[in-house]
Amino acid sequence: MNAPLALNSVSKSFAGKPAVTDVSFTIEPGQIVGFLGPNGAGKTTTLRMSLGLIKPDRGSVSLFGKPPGDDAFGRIGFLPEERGLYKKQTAREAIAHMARLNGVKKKPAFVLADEMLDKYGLGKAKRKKNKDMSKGMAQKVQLLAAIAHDPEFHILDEPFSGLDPVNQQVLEGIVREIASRGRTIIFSTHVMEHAERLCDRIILMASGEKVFDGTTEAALANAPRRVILASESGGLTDLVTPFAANIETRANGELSLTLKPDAQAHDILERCVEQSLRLSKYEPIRATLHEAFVALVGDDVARQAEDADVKTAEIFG
Amino acid sequence: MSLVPRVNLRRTFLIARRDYLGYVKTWGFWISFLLPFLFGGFGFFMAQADLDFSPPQYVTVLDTTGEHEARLMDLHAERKDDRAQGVMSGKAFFIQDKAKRAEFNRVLRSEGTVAAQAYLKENVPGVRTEFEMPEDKFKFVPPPASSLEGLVPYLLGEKMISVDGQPTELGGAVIFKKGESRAQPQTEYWSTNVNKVDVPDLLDVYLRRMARVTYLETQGLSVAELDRRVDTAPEAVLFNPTKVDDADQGVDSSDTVPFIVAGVLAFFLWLTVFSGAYMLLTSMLEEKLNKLLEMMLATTRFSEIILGKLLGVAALTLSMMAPYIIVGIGGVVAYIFFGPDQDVVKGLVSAFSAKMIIFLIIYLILGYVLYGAFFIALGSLSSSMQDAQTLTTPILFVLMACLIVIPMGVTDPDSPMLRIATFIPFSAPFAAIVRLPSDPPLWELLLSTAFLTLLCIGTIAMAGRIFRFGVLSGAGAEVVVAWFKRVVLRRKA
Repeated sequence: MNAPLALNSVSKSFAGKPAVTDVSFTIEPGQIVGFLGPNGAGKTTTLRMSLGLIKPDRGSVSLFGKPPGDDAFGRIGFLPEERGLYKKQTAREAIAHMARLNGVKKKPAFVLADEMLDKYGLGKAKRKKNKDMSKGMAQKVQLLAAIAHDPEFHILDEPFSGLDPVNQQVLEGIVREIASRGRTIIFSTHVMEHAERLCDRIILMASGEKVFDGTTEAALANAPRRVILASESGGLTDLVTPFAANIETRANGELSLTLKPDAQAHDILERCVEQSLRLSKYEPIRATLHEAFVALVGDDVARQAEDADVKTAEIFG
Repeated sequence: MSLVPRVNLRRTFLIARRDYLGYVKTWGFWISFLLPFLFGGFGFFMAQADLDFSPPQYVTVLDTTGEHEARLMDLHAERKDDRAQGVMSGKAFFIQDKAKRAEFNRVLRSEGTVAAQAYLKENVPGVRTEFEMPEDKFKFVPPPASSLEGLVPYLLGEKMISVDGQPTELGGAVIFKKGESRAQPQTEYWSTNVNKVDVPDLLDVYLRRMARVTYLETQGLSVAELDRRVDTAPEAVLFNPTKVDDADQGVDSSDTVPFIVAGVLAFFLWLTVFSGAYMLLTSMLEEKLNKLLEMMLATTRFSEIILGKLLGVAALTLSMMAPYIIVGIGGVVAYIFFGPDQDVVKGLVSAFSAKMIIFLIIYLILGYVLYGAFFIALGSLSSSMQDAQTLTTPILFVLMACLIVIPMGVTDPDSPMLRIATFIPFSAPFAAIVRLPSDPPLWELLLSTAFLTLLCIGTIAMAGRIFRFGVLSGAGAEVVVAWFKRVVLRRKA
């Protein structure tokens, strides 16, 4: 069975500025892949090249073993980053229209639309015009329109952006439900938590380049391990210094240790027992993908990325 | 690589259908569609309601010379009768028998409207004989005072005159005073309404006539004889040497009607292209603002979206034009079967020749596709209505300039300018159609069609590229400027 998507050393520049540089990866059938990176990392450009909407300057793309094009029509469900619906269509018309463009016949398309709207809590909005729906509702309708024809491969560009926490959870449920049917999913996001919860594989982008491709666990292994310690006795700092790459003292007197690569959290615990140092707090902190990202791309790039995200948030609210 | 892009007809149909229904569901469509009926209904209502929007003005004459008041009244009555004759003469249009029509015209001219009405009733019973005299714009009333000072309160509305027992405002006062000679009295018109020119116009005619009559009389010439000679002056007869179906080669309505019809059809073509192309622009802009195109592109070819839009908006434009087309066709067919003037019937039949219909369809399609593709491309580059207006201004100027060829073509279809316009693809559809009645060489039409077809193909290909670029760029006119600087001016971004 051909891989739903394979990119081979693709690069793309706009007006001489590189947007994507030498990116390669293959998405295997049935995977849920998180395509991560800050704004401007090249995620959308890569996804557009994957679909054949933009031609790469170099490298090649294959969808289901063939160059992107007609053969993949109907097999892909694509939710672009920019959202929108025909304002005067109703929710069911919008879903049915996209389903029909993807090859579903008229009557089944409307039946499908009604079923999906009922299933995902929009039953009452079936005949509501898109212009009268809230942003969250409209976004859900667009997602349903993208996936109504039950494609083999789902490409979702920033599906969580703009949704409130409740709807983000609903969307996570939809993604899990699609995955449970054995479908392949790649979704881009710059919010790492979604990927941590959903993905069995992540691809990390920064400044147009792929910086990591592997399982979530492998990515987390790159993150610095931290532990929070506190003791009412003196000498804690001296005792843990050999294990720490970095020590921060918090306002409440607790120590936040970043462990050296070869150090383990339980080594600290053993040393404390040996030295009869009574600990009032011992809390290993679970690494996050964000920390893994910082570790992988370096502080400067991560800071630039965060700045870009903050600016985006300021501009777009 | 094939020149003709591959399209899936089902998807193209779905896109066309969505575009069509998207517009059909708007108020604007139905208002445009129903406009002819609304106007018709409004006109019928107004006729039934018999509302008087502009009641006659009441004017008085203060004639200190004692010579002009009666003559002015006579002239007013004469002009009113002329207007009545003008309205009555329109009925001649419905008299099919040429001899009866000539006799009706003679009776009307020599015996007046009442006699002409009686003639119709007796000899042409099929024609409606009810006749209503045209409404007076002003009526003369006796002066309520014998001096200007006495009239001023009436003119200012401080005092009212009585008309049929009703208090009524005095609209104006004509004052004749002794002037340099009998023919040149000092004439004044007093009124608070300076924009109503009916009375000053009457006075102008009256004074000119006075000068003429006085001059003729002083020269010992008869005014009545001059009028008779003017009325019986012969008319110039027009001939057309290219006419082969008429023994005397005389020019009549059958020769002029095809040119007028061609002008109307060319204008219809222009209107269809203009409204269709503009709707394509707004449709493209709607797509851009709705941000759905990118999602559709994962499942649809660019060419299908462009073709779907062209077809959807074409269907929409024809739907909006349908009432006008139906009324137009109905009117022409009705006249061909029941029209009284056989020369006009002959002209209409020859105007709608197979050649005209074939080329009208060809130019309608090519003209719409050419301008439509331009507007699609420009719409896809726009991100707001302001962008769209800025970008389309040049092409709108071109389209407006093409309108000029229509009146020129009706009066002078074979002028060098019209011949050149036939070969310029932007003006070709309108110039060629308006020239058709003058029977231009077939090679000119075919070459014009070939040029237009080539430009259409080029424009569609270019529109496809711009569309692809514009849809995904997201930005507006600044993208075009940046592209121009980068590619044309070779400046670094």
